[in-house]
Amino acid sequence: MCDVCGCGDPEVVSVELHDKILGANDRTAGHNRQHFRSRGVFAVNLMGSPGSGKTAILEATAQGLDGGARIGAISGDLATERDADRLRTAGIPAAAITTGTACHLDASMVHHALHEFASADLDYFFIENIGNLVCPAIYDLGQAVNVVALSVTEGVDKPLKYPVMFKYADLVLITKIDLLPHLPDVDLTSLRENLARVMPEPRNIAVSALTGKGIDRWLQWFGERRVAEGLPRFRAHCGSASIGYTKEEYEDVQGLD
Amino acid sequence: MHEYSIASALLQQVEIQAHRHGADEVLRIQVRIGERAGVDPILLHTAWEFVREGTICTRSRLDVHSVPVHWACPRCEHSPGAGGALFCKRCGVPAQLVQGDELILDRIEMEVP
Repeated sequence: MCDVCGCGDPEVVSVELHDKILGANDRTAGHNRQHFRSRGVFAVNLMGSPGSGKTAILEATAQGLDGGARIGAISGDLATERDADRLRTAGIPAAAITTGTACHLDASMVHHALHEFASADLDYFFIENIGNLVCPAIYDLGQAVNVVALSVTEGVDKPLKYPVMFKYADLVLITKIDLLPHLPDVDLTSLRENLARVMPEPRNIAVSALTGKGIDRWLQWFGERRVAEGLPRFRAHCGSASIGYTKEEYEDVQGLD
Repeated sequence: MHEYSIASALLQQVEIQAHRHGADEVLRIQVRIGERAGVDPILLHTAWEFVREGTICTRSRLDVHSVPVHWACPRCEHSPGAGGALFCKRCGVPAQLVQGDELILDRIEMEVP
């Protein structure tokens, strides 16, 4: 109420905040990150257009590791569990997140999926985001690194047209390079020059999930990043360690929202 | 279109503040959106008009301040040329994003009885 003259008129109050609009998501992501770290799990947020080859990369990853590391995955799509089915067929314990209409995963969806995820003792956890070259980049999920799959069939100028996705990418996997002989207008030099215009450190690896070319470099890259994060390359067996949330942790995160 | 998610997150924050201050109406909300934040101001306005219906923000005005993108060398503060590589040739280090990725709720004006 106006306290100048006591007239009873409502008072206009101005509140200065300067708060992040996605602050609640960031807090949940921070909790996910702590959860991964405390269990020695290196989490990868794998993003890219629909059809850029994200699932194929994970299939090739499982094949390349050949049981040398324990991996798990969640796969986001608007509908169906087809990608999670493919990952399970490739030997990766996987769960699906079906978002209905949402064009991205957020930290809360990942947290819920982790709660449901079957207990496992993992070295690497891959979050295969919704196929979309814009929205997923905005949401922190609690990952250690952001990786973008960009297929050669998308053309060399995609990074310039979708700069937000590449701004904080730690690595770009240039996928489907086995198709290059059929794409006379696509050259890797131009593609890499365009990446350097939108990524301050334009790390990239050219791969083919079909032929296996470049997959060994990809395995080496995330193995080294795992060590750089302070996690051992080969983790000692942790007995009953589980990637799923305990009931208490789950309620803790609920309280954050 | 993630602008609806952004607008919903914004509404949630504004409602918390309105409740905290005992407001009966929110008049104006001021946000800062970086040009490289991946959020379209026009779509955000459309999403805001949708999510605010039936809430304490129904008649609120949303002011969006756009922040231009600015990359600079972390050592000499020199900016890479427009359209060029995000790398400082003089210092030999990658450029850093100084501004342009903001998604910030700056200010709320509300009516308190």
